[in-house]
Amino acid sequence: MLARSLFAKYHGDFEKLSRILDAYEPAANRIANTVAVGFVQERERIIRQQQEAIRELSTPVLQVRERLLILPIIGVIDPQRARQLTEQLLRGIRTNRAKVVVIDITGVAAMDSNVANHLVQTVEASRLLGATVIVTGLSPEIAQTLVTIGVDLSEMATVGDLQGGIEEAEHLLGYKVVPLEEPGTKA
Amino acid sequence: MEVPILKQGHYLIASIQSALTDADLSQLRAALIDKVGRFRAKGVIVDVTALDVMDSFAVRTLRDIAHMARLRGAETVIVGIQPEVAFAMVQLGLTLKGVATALDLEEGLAFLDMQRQVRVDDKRAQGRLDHE
Repeated sequence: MLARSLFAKYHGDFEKLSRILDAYEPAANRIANTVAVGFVQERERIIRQQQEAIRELSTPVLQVRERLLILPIIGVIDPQRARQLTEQLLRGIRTNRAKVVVIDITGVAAMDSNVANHLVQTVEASRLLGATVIVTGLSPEIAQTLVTIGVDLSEMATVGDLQGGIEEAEHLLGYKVVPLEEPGTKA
Repeated sequence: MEVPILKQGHYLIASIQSALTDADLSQLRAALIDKVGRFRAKGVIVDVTALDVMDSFAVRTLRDIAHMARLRGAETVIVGIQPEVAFAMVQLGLTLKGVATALDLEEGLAFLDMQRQVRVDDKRAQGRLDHE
Protein backbone atom coordinates (compact mmCIF):
# COMPACT_ATOMS: atom_id res chain seq x y z
CA MET A 1 0.00 0.00 0.00
CA LEU A 2 2.92 2.26 0.75
CA ALA A 3 4.43 1.36 -2.63
CA ARG A 4 1.15 2.20 -4.38
CA SER A 5 0.88 5.63 -2.74
CA LEU A 6 4.52 6.34 -3.53
CA PHE A 7 3.79 5.52 -7.18
CA ALA A 8 0.78 7.80 -7.19
CA LYS A 9 2.75 10.69 -5.75
CA TYR A 10 5.96 10.39 -7.72
CA HIS A 11 4.90 8.77 -10.98
CA GLY A 12 6.03 11.86 -12.82
CA ASP A 13 9.57 11.76 -11.55
CA PHE A 14 11.01 8.31 -12.24
CA GLU A 15 14.46 9.20 -10.85
CA LYS A 16 13.03 10.27 -7.50
CA LEU A 17 10.71 7.30 -7.32
CA SER A 18 13.63 4.98 -7.96
CA ARG A 19 15.68 6.58 -5.17
CA ILE A 20 12.79 6.41 -2.72
CA LEU A 21 12.15 2.77 -3.49
CA ASP A 22 15.85 2.00 -3.02
CA ALA A 23 15.67 3.50 0.44
CA TYR A 24 12.36 1.90 1.25
CA GLU A 25 13.16 -1.66 0.26
CA PRO A 26 15.81 -2.55 2.89
CA ALA A 27 13.79 -0.85 5.58
CA ALA A 28 10.70 -2.82 4.62
CA ASN A 29 12.67 -6.05 4.61
CA ARG A 30 14.05 -5.32 8.05
CA ILE A 31 10.61 -4.60 9.40
CA ALA A 32 9.20 -7.82 8.00
CA ASN A 33 12.14 -9.74 9.38
CA THR A 34 11.85 -8.25 12.84
CA VAL A 35 8.16 -9.01 13.00
CA ALA A 36 8.68 -12.59 11.88
CA VAL A 37 11.54 -13.27 14.26
CA GLY A 38 9.73 -11.64 17.15
CA PHE A 39 6.66 -13.71 16.47
CA VAL A 40 8.58 -16.99 16.34
CA GLN A 41 10.58 -16.19 19.46
CA GLU A 42 7.45 -15.39 21.40
CA ARG A 43 5.80 -18.63 20.32
CA GLU A 44 8.89 -20.59 21.27
CA ARG A 45 8.97 -18.94 24.65
CA ILE A 46 5.36 -19.90 25.27
CA ILE A 47 6.01 -23.48 24.17
CA ARG A 48 9.01 -23.72 26.49
CA GLN A 49 6.96 -22.37 29.37
CA GLN A 50 4.20 -24.87 28.72
CA GLN A 51 6.65 -27.73 28.44
CA GLU A 52 8.10 -26.75 31.81
CA ALA A 53 4.63 -26.61 33.35
CA ILE A 54 3.76 -30.02 31.94
CA ARG A 55 6.95 -31.49 33.29
CA GLU A 56 6.30 -30.19 36.76
CA LEU A 57 2.72 -31.38 36.71
CA SER A 58 3.72 -34.86 35.79
CA THR A 59 6.12 -35.51 38.67
CA PRO A 60 4.24 -34.65 41.84
CA VAL A 61 5.67 -35.82 45.13
CA LEU A 62 2.80 -36.78 47.40
CA GLN A 63 2.74 -37.42 51.11
CA VAL A 64 0.22 -40.13 51.93
CA ARG A 65 1.20 -40.68 55.55
CA GLU A 66 3.59 -39.21 58.03
CA ARG A 67 7.12 -39.89 56.75
CA LEU A 68 5.78 -41.70 53.63
CA LEU A 69 6.01 -40.20 50.14
CA ILE A 70 4.69 -41.50 46.86
CA LEU A 71 6.11 -40.50 43.49
CA PRO A 72 3.85 -41.73 40.66
CA ILE A 73 5.60 -41.47 37.33
CA ILE A 74 3.61 -41.45 34.14
CA GLY A 75 4.74 -41.22 30.54
CA VAL A 76 8.09 -40.86 28.93
CA ILE A 77 11.12 -40.10 31.02
CA ASP A 78 13.85 -38.23 29.23
CA PRO A 79 17.14 -37.34 30.93
CA GLN A 80 15.95 -33.84 31.75
CA ARG A 81 12.74 -35.06 33.32
CA ALA A 82 14.63 -37.74 35.21
CA ARG A 83 16.90 -35.12 36.67
CA GLN A 84 14.03 -32.87 37.66
CA LEU A 85 12.29 -35.84 39.20
CA THR A 86 15.27 -36.59 41.41
CA GLU A 87 15.67 -32.99 42.52
CA GLN A 88 11.98 -32.72 43.39
CA LEU A 89 12.06 -36.00 45.28
CA LEU A 90 15.14 -35.12 47.33
CA ARG A 91 13.69 -31.77 48.26
CA GLY A 92 10.43 -33.50 49.17
CA ILE A 93 12.25 -35.98 51.40
CA ARG A 94 13.89 -33.16 53.29
CA THR A 95 10.75 -31.04 53.57
CA ASN A 96 8.48 -33.88 54.70
CA ARG A 97 11.21 -35.71 56.67
CA ALA A 98 10.24 -38.83 54.79
CA LYS A 99 11.64 -42.18 55.84
CA VAL A 100 10.12 -44.22 53.02
CA VAL A 101 9.46 -43.32 49.40
CA VAL A 102 7.43 -45.42 46.97
CA ILE A 103 8.30 -44.69 43.34
CA ASP A 104 5.61 -46.12 41.10
CA ILE A 105 6.48 -46.64 37.44
CA THR A 106 3.32 -48.44 36.36
CA GLY A 107 2.73 -45.60 33.94
CA VAL A 108 6.14 -45.82 32.32
CA ALA A 109 6.11 -47.87 29.15
CA ALA A 110 9.78 -48.26 28.48
CA MET A 111 13.11 -47.40 29.98
CA ASP A 112 16.55 -47.19 28.46
CA SER A 113 19.84 -47.73 30.24
CA ASN A 114 20.35 -44.03 30.96
CA VAL A 115 17.05 -43.70 32.72
CA ALA A 116 17.51 -47.02 34.50
CA ASN A 117 20.83 -45.85 35.87
CA HIS A 118 19.27 -42.59 36.85
CA LEU A 119 16.65 -44.49 38.82
CA VAL A 120 19.41 -46.34 40.67
CA GLN A 121 21.13 -43.04 41.41
CA THR A 122 17.88 -41.61 42.73
CA VAL A 123 17.53 -44.54 45.11
CA GLU A 124 21.08 -44.06 46.38
CA ALA A 125 20.71 -40.30 46.76
CA SER A 126 17.52 -40.84 48.75
CA ARG A 127 19.35 -43.22 51.05
CA LEU A 128 21.92 -40.49 51.73
CA LEU A 129 19.04 -38.43 53.05
CA GLY A 130 17.98 -41.30 55.28
CA ALA A 131 15.05 -42.52 53.21
CA THR A 132 14.34 -46.03 51.93
CA VAL A 133 13.01 -46.33 48.39
CA ILE A 134 10.59 -48.99 47.16
CA VAL A 135 10.06 -49.16 43.40
CA THR A 136 6.72 -50.54 42.27
CA GLY A 137 4.91 -51.24 39.04
CA LEU A 138 7.76 -52.54 36.93
CA SER A 139 6.31 -53.94 33.73
CA PRO A 140 7.72 -57.24 32.42
CA GLU A 141 9.42 -55.28 29.64
CA ILE A 142 11.14 -52.92 32.04
CA ALA A 143 12.11 -55.78 34.33
CA GLN A 144 13.72 -57.48 31.37
CA THR A 145 15.46 -54.27 30.32
CA LEU A 146 16.91 -53.75 33.78
CA VAL A 147 18.23 -57.28 34.00
CA THR A 148 19.63 -57.21 30.48
CA ILE A 149 21.39 -53.91 31.02
CA GLY A 150 22.93 -55.28 34.17
CA VAL A 151 21.78 -52.53 36.46
CA ASP A 152 22.75 -53.11 40.09
CA LEU A 153 19.43 -53.99 41.67
CA SER A 154 20.77 -55.18 44.99
CA GLU A 155 20.21 -51.77 46.52
CA MET A 156 16.72 -51.33 45.13
CA ALA A 157 13.70 -52.82 46.86
CA THR A 158 10.93 -53.62 44.43
CA VAL A 159 7.35 -54.76 44.86
CA GLY A 160 4.97 -55.79 42.10
CA ASP A 161 2.28 -53.18 42.41
CA LEU A 162 1.59 -49.90 44.14
CA GLN A 163 -0.72 -51.46 46.71
CA GLY A 164 1.96 -53.93 47.74
CA GLY A 165 4.51 -51.17 47.85
CA ILE A 166 2.40 -49.03 50.16
CA GLU A 167 1.74 -51.99 52.43
CA GLU A 168 5.46 -52.71 52.59
CA ALA A 169 6.18 -49.06 53.31
CA GLU A 170 3.60 -48.92 56.10
CA HIS A 171 5.13 -52.04 57.59
CA LEU A 172 8.58 -50.44 57.53
CA LEU A 173 7.19 -47.38 59.28
CA GLY A 174 5.53 -49.50 61.95
CA TYR A 175 1.95 -49.04 60.85
CA LYS A 176 -0.63 -51.77 60.93
CA VAL A 177 -3.90 -51.25 59.08
CA VAL A 178 -6.91 -52.85 60.72
CA PRO A 179 -10.52 -52.67 59.58
CA LEU A 180 -12.98 -50.70 61.69
CA GLU A 181 -15.81 -52.67 63.24
CA GLU A 182 -18.89 -53.07 61.07
CA PRO A 183 -21.67 -50.74 62.30
CA GLY A 184 -24.46 -52.74 63.94
CA THR A 185 -22.26 -55.59 65.17
CA LYS A 186 -21.89 -54.15 68.66
CA ALA A 187 -23.97 -55.95 71.27
CA MET B 1 39.58 -25.19 61.69
CA GLU B 2 38.86 -27.68 64.43
CA VAL B 3 35.46 -29.33 64.41
CA PRO B 4 33.76 -29.31 67.83
CA ILE B 5 33.00 -32.78 69.15
CA LEU B 6 30.35 -33.01 71.82
CA LYS B 7 29.62 -35.94 74.08
CA GLN B 8 25.97 -36.84 74.63
CA GLY B 9 25.57 -39.87 76.83
CA HIS B 10 27.23 -42.76 75.03
CA TYR B 11 27.43 -40.86 71.76
CA LEU B 12 29.83 -38.40 70.20
CA ILE B 13 28.47 -35.66 67.98
CA ALA B 14 30.76 -33.87 65.53
CA SER B 15 29.08 -30.82 64.07
CA ILE B 16 30.79 -29.45 60.98
CA GLN B 17 30.26 -25.69 60.79
CA SER B 18 31.89 -24.76 57.49
CA ALA B 19 33.91 -26.08 54.59
CA LEU B 20 36.88 -28.15 55.70
CA THR B 21 40.30 -28.50 54.18
CA ASP B 22 41.84 -31.92 53.71
CA ALA B 23 43.98 -31.29 56.80
CA ASP B 24 40.88 -30.38 58.84
CA LEU B 25 39.19 -33.62 57.73
CA SER B 26 42.19 -35.72 58.70
CA GLN B 27 42.33 -33.95 62.04
CA LEU B 28 38.62 -34.67 62.61
CA ARG B 29 39.12 -38.34 61.83
CA ALA B 30 42.02 -38.60 64.28
CA ALA B 31 40.13 -36.71 66.99
CA LEU B 32 37.02 -38.88 66.65
CA ILE B 33 38.90 -42.16 66.77
CA ASP B 34 40.80 -40.99 69.81
CA LYS B 35 37.64 -39.88 71.62
CA VAL B 36 35.73 -43.05 70.76
CA GLY B 37 38.36 -44.99 72.64
CA ARG B 38 38.74 -42.56 75.53
CA PHE B 39 35.01 -42.21 76.25
CA ARG B 40 34.11 -45.75 75.22
CA ALA B 41 31.47 -44.26 72.96
CA LYS B 42 28.81 -46.51 71.44
CA GLY B 43 27.90 -44.19 68.60
CA VAL B 44 29.23 -41.35 66.47
CA ILE B 45 27.20 -38.76 64.61
CA VAL B 46 28.85 -36.56 62.01
CA ASP B 47 26.60 -33.65 61.05
CA VAL B 48 27.36 -32.31 57.58
CA THR B 49 24.31 -30.04 57.27
CA ALA B 50 26.54 -27.00 56.76
CA LEU B 51 28.46 -28.47 53.84
CA ASP B 52 27.46 -27.30 50.35
CA VAL B 53 29.89 -29.64 48.66
CA MET B 54 31.57 -32.91 49.46
CA ASP B 55 34.52 -34.04 47.40
CA SER B 56 35.97 -37.52 47.16
CA PHE B 57 38.40 -36.92 50.02
CA ALA B 58 35.61 -35.85 52.34
CA VAL B 59 33.52 -38.89 51.42
CA ARG B 60 36.50 -41.19 51.87
CA THR B 61 37.26 -39.64 55.27
CA LEU B 62 33.68 -40.18 56.42
CA ARG B 63 33.89 -43.82 55.31
CA ASP B 64 37.20 -44.19 57.19
CA ILE B 65 35.66 -42.71 60.32
CA ALA B 66 32.76 -45.16 60.14
CA HIS B 67 34.99 -48.18 59.64
CA MET B 68 37.49 -47.19 62.31
CA ALA B 69 34.74 -46.39 64.81
CA ARG B 70 33.13 -49.76 64.20
CA LEU B 71 36.46 -51.46 64.90
CA ARG B 72 36.41 -49.71 68.24
CA GLY B 73 32.84 -50.66 69.05
CA ALA B 74 30.87 -47.64 67.86
CA GLU B 75 28.29 -47.23 65.10
CA THR B 76 28.54 -44.12 62.94
CA VAL B 77 25.72 -42.16 61.29
CA ILE B 78 26.26 -39.34 58.81
CA VAL B 79 23.43 -36.84 59.04
CA GLY B 80 22.35 -33.70 57.22
CA ILE B 81 23.51 -34.43 53.69
CA GLN B 82 21.86 -31.72 51.59
CA PRO B 83 19.76 -32.71 48.53
CA GLU B 84 22.13 -30.96 46.11
CA VAL B 85 25.14 -32.62 47.73
CA ALA B 86 23.48 -36.06 47.61
CA PHE B 87 22.65 -35.56 43.94
CA ALA B 88 26.20 -34.53 43.08
CA MET B 89 27.63 -37.43 45.07
CA VAL B 90 25.66 -40.11 43.25
CA GLN B 91 26.40 -38.53 39.89
CA LEU B 92 30.12 -38.62 40.63
CA GLY B 93 29.89 -42.14 41.96
CA LEU B 94 30.97 -41.10 45.47
CA THR B 95 29.05 -43.55 47.57
CA LEU B 96 28.81 -43.97 51.29
CA LYS B 97 27.97 -47.64 50.87
CA GLY B 98 28.11 -49.46 54.14
CA VAL B 99 27.79 -46.26 56.14
CA ALA B 100 24.52 -45.41 57.84
CA THR B 101 22.93 -42.10 56.96
CA ALA B 102 19.99 -40.18 58.37
CA LEU B 103 18.14 -36.98 57.59
CA ASP B 104 19.16 -34.97 60.65
CA LEU B 105 20.49 -35.11 64.19
CA GLU B 106 17.17 -36.28 65.64
CA GLU B 107 16.92 -39.15 63.18
CA GLY B 108 20.57 -40.01 63.71
CA LEU B 109 20.12 -40.33 67.45
CA ALA B 110 16.96 -42.43 66.97
CA PHE B 111 18.91 -44.71 64.65
CA LEU B 112 21.76 -45.16 67.13
CA ASP B 113 19.32 -45.90 69.95
CA MET B 114 17.62 -48.52 67.80
CA GLN B 115 20.95 -50.05 66.83
CA ARG B 116 22.01 -50.32 70.45
CA GLN B 117 18.72 -51.95 71.36
CA VAL B 118 19.17 -54.47 68.55
CA ARG B 119 22.64 -55.34 69.79
CA VAL B 120 21.45 -55.71 73.38
CA ASP B 121 18.57 -57.94 72.25
CA ASP B 122 20.96 -60.06 70.22
CA LYS B 123 23.27 -60.56 73.15
CA ARG B 124 20.37 -61.36 75.41
CA ALA B 125 19.10 -63.90 72.93
CA GLN B 126 22.51 -65.51 72.91
CA GLY B 127 22.38 -65.68 76.68
CA ARG B 128 25.37 -63.51 77.33
CA LEU B 129 24.95 -59.89 78.36
CA ASP B 130 28.05 -58.08 79.64
CA HIS B 131 27.64 -55.07 81.83
CA GLU B 132 27.38 -52.04 79.56
